Amino acid sequence: MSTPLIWIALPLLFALFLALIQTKQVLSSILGTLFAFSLALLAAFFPESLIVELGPLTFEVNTNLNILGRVLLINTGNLPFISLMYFFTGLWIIGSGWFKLSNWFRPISFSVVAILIAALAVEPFLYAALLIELAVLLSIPLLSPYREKVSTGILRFLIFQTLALPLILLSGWMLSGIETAPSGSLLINQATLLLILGFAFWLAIFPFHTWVPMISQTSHPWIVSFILLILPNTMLMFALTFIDRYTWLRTIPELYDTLRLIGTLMIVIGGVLAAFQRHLGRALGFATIIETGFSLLAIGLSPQGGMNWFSMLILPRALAYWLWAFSLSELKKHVDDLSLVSVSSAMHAFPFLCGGILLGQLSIAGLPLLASFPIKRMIWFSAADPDLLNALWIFIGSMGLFVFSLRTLIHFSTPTSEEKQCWKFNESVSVIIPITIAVIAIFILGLLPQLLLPRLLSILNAFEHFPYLK
Amino acid sequence: MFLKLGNLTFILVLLTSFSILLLRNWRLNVITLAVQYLGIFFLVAINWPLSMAIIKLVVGWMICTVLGITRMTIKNLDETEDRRLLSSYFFRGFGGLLIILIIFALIPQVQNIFPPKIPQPIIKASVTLIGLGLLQLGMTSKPFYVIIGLLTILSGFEILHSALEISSLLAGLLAGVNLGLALVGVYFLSKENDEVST
Repeated sequence: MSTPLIWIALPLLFALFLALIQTKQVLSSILGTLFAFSLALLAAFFPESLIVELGPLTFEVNTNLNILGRVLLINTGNLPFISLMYFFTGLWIIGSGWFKLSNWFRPISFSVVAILIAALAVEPFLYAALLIELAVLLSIPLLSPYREKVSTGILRFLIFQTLALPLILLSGWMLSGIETAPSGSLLINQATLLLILGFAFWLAIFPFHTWVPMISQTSHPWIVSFILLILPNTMLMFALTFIDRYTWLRTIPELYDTLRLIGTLMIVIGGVLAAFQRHLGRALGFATIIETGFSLLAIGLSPQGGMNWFSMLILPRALAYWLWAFSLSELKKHVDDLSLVSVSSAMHAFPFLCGGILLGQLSIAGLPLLASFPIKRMIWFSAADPDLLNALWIFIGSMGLFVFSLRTLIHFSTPTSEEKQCWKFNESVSVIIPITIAVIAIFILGLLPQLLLPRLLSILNAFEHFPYLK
Repeated sequence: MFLKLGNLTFILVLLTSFSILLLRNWRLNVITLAVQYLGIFFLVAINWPLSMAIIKLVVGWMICTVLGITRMTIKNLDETEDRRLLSSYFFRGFGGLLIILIIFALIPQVQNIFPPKIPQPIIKASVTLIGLGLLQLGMTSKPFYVIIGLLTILSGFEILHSALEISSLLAGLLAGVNLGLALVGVYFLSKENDEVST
């Protein structure tokens, strides 16, 4: 028994099983959720000694699994992030029961997560790029269902993610040869350039971000939110692995300044563009761009403790995406499309759905009392410390999402006809309950961040050499 | 032997990738792609053992077969808009020639980045495939040609990477990625087929 067997091979086998029973939606949803939460719990509470005692039986779990001369390695430091990934998978598989999604959602989402974990576990870790590409290819049928036209967004998504692969592999080859090279040498500059370009493609950094709003407009919000949560977070962890492994990379003086600049740029662009959107799905896409920006900014603020905020942002972000995407997907059942014009007056008919959408948006925007606020507040203050102008730009970017939320609120509450609108609760109890639970969770995280968020710091145990970790 | 054929193979790869860019006939494109994979196999075989290099050929021809058979089943897909205009040929051809010129001008600089032991035909073929593949991606929004463009870019990279590293896992994963891309292409094509028939 080994850890990669438990958290990579077993889920892949389970995905195969889910594929066999894909037509039985309820059964596959229940089994998928239970299995994902079991894996999450197991990862969260796995003994650090890797010795498992089951009654009289005691056995030691290995951390390695050899495949074709290469190794998959999952040690206890990786388990907190794995736990989160399966927790999110469980959350999204539970929610999939509410919507008319492809039957393949459950098996594919399991496979994607297992492959992404394999990407973080593979040694030499540069092979991860290939595994990430496989995960991207697997997600295409989800993002572009069979009955829908192949959109430009999907093609761009495929192109940009695929273009990153050669860049990362090539930079990996360069990196392996320059571990001892002095910083500033030509080879280091070339490797850094390739690395930055590769991650820019992967993380949809400006100007390679155009596919994000496109697919979030055309694809189902539930699937988009899952993919845009899982993929960028894994890629960011992969990026951190790079910084952790290579001394020369983490000692480049401009590294953190550059990350701060890129992060700020993404927040500003995402926020400003979000403010002018006329489609709720597209705005979700821009929100994910803003969130990637915040993650990069947090990494850039490592000397001020930014890595802690990077790790603590993941859960509030996931909850906000979940609430926003769940409410949006439910609303999609009742309206023609998700443009602001089409959802006019929706609040009178679906107050819970509209409230869920608004709270999801505002939580990502960093409204006080909501889940992201305590962390984003710290990021704002820290960003202002080295550069006040930087904080101003971040403020402008964050305001963009606030403005969009205000516009959404106005559209939601504007009556379509001159008749007096009566408030009705058209949502069923089965919809109101999950929304209420998510809202309560968001408020608890916002009001009592010390309860849960500090536990997320254990994600950083995966990085042994990263500077500024306390 | 493969090293001696290096320059000839480069010319073969140059011609095939240029033809793929220029032509908008799926049959010719698939056949040319198959020939291109033959060239890629020859170039990879310079550095890799034959038993491993043959993976590229087998996978490449599998891709061509899968794409070709799927495309054959689609009867009414409109391809005329690109094919009939002489100016589109001229535009693509001119763009391709420009890229080839730039590539020839840049080859010495590119060569400096990589170890000197890498034979020049490998670098030339690799950069040509990547350059023309990128141009192909920039000139079309049709899924079939986008997939062929991506496969061309990956082929260019694989030739280069074969001279840098020999690994069976890497070869296997790259084969998986190539086949995955082809399957995505098949998926896109069958979606288009569905649209046409409905």
